[in-house]
Amino acid sequence: MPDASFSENLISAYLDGELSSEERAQVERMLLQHAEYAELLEQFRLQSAALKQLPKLELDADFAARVMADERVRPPANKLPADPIVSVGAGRERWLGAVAAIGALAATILVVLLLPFLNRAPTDLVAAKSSVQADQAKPLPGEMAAGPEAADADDLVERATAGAMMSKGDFNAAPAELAAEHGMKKSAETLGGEKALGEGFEEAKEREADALPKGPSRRAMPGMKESKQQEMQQEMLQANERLLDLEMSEAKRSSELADEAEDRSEGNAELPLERGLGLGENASQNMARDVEERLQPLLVENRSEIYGLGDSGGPFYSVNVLRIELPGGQAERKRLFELLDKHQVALPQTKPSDLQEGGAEETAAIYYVLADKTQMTGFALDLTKASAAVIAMYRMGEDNRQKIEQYLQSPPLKQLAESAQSLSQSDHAYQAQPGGQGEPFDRAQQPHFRRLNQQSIGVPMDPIIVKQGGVVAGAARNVREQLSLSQLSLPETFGDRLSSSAGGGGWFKDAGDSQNFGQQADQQQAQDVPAVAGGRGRNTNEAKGNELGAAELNASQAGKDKMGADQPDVLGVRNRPSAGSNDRAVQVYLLIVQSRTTPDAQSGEPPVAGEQKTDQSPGSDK
Amino acid sequence: MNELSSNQVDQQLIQATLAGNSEMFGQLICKYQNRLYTGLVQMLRSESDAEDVVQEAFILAYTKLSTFQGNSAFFTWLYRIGYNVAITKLRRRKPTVSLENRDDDRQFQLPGNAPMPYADLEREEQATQLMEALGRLSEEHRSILVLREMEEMDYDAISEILDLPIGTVRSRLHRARSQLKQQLELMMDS
Repeated sequence: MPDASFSENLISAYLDGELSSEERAQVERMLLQHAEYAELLEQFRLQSAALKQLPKLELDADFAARVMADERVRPPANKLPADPIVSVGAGRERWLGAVAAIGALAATILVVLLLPFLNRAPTDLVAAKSSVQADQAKPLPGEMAAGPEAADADDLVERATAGAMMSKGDFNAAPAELAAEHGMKKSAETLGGEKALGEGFEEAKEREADALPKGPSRRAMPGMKESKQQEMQQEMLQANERLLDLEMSEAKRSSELADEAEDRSEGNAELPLERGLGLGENASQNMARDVEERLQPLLVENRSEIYGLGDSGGPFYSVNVLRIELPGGQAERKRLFELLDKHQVALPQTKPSDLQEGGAEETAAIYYVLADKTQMTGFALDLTKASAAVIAMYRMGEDNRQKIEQYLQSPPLKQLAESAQSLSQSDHAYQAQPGGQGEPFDRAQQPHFRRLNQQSIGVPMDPIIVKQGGVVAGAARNVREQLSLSQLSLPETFGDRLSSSAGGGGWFKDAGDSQNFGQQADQQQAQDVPAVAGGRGRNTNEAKGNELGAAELNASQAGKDKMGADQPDVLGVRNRPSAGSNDRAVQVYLLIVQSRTTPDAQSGEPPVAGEQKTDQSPGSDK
Repeated sequence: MNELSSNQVDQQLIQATLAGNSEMFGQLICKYQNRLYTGLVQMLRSESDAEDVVQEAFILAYTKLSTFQGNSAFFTWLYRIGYNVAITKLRRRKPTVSLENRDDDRQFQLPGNAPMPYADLEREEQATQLMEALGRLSEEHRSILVLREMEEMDYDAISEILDLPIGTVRSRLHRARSQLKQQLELMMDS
């Protein structure tokens, strides 16, 4: 009978010569007394020998040269490439305010959509607006530079991904120079030197929050001296260095969180939606509680991203991400999506003074993403990167700038740009016509505007459904080929998220459907289905108001079979969970993507009517 | 060349790199690229992924070279970077395991272009089976076996790379060996 205190682990360690003399003596005693231990040791020994004889693999002879040729290894001529965001026109500052307002309104609309689920009195809406708008009052990225307020720790997590991408492009200095100029020694000290690569993400994140420069500049401050700008850029580089460290530990942490989420969600699989939202069975008693408190379980993320893609007057994008989390079963989830489909989330008619300067044209689209929560933690990073990828690459330097320009010249995006220009010109031409001024002009009803709205994502981003461990992704398999993404240094999966020309599509019921997505989208475009992708134009359902009663809910459910080609694709892309979706908690992302272009950026003046061709009139479909 | 002198050479190359002679880093790459690659191929079960990770690991090591304090061997430090990058890659690969091609591109195969160093088919088959069994292990068991058996690292180094206490290294290694033994027995039975 083996000694109860004896652990078989010792046999393995004995084989490896990793025991103390006392332990070794104990093992040798046990080996003599118990044949099964001796046999186990022998098997481990054979196994070990066999593993040691496995073939050693070799990389190509030029591998080292390839690594050394990487721009991050080469000492560059210019260690601090100019931040192209700096060149975004100053006139856009006002537009940022509009974007913030749009985001706030969208958040409010989200609340409105969910109010029926929350069993709230309509009067709560006012308070809900205030609450969400208060969230939205947080400074936009561009505004962070102006204010002393620091980005909070969550922002750091978000920037850890994009920051890592930027920092890769900025690792242009030799290590010694980096150490001296970017405070590497300090970084090593802060993160515990070599141990920093694997330590706890949260702890490191907290230290980062203290160590980071508050509100790193992503945009130039008017009148700021060049030396000051360089100083701030250096601070950003330093921050990005450390954020890259954090990203490594983040993956580990994300996996743990995902596991925890899976455990929790399995337990909550059949929770009714109301209970999942934190209202429980006593929902009516909770109605007096503060709205913000009750919304807290829902709105897990609310942030804005501003991207500029041109030195002057180029496309300019903003992405508002509203993330809500919905525990609950399939039925509730279906109801939510039917509501989202039935009620177009309309963006407001923003003040012309904010959006029309310099002949600017803006578009908007709202996309939503349904993701299995258990898959979302890691995937969200990719998702946010998808929107950040282009801009992050753009920030890397001249080489990638050229790649981005090449990308922007690719057929789908070029078509988009031409469409935007055509639309803008026709709009100005219309306004310049006698009697045109002041007339109601509902651009959402114009076919080319609808089409533009469908295509309005200039920053590649595509709704993705993640279910049961797999990604049912849509579009752009053909686009991927066109763009030759490998030349753009984009991640391998990036092409699956591109959605430049695919504005519509069928429901994804299985992987096969997703493969046909591009074809369906093309067919839908050819038929010019009256789909309005959440643009700022008037919503056809707007007249119904935003309050949804039980009858409407029932009608929505009853009409679900009609949600095919004859139904407006109110959210731009028609993705929804398949009937086979599991009942785990879900996270829904609403992505409000706005693009703004200034077709006549040099002069800033709209073209005169006489210069317009007749086929570019507002009623034209060309 | 014994371990100590190897470390000294590494230190000299590192110092030269930090002094601005980045070509010296190329020598470090040549010295360790295949060793790191072999281990990561086993861990990632994909040669192309492993090559990407090795490349990224060297670039990261270069950019962070000034933080290397010399408390451990350079290769241990490098391997830790590579391991972290590989883990990140694995975590991100998980959700994108497509409904289509679920396993097709994940299958690890013996290198087709590298001649097997075995004299007879029996040995080749044994190696194939061993790799297959290794591939059936969990990532954590596979990693620790690779570090110990193929990289021949001691428990201290393994502990540093995997960020585990020595006791955990010991117990996990034992479980990994037991699991591998079990997998091999299952394959034999079938």
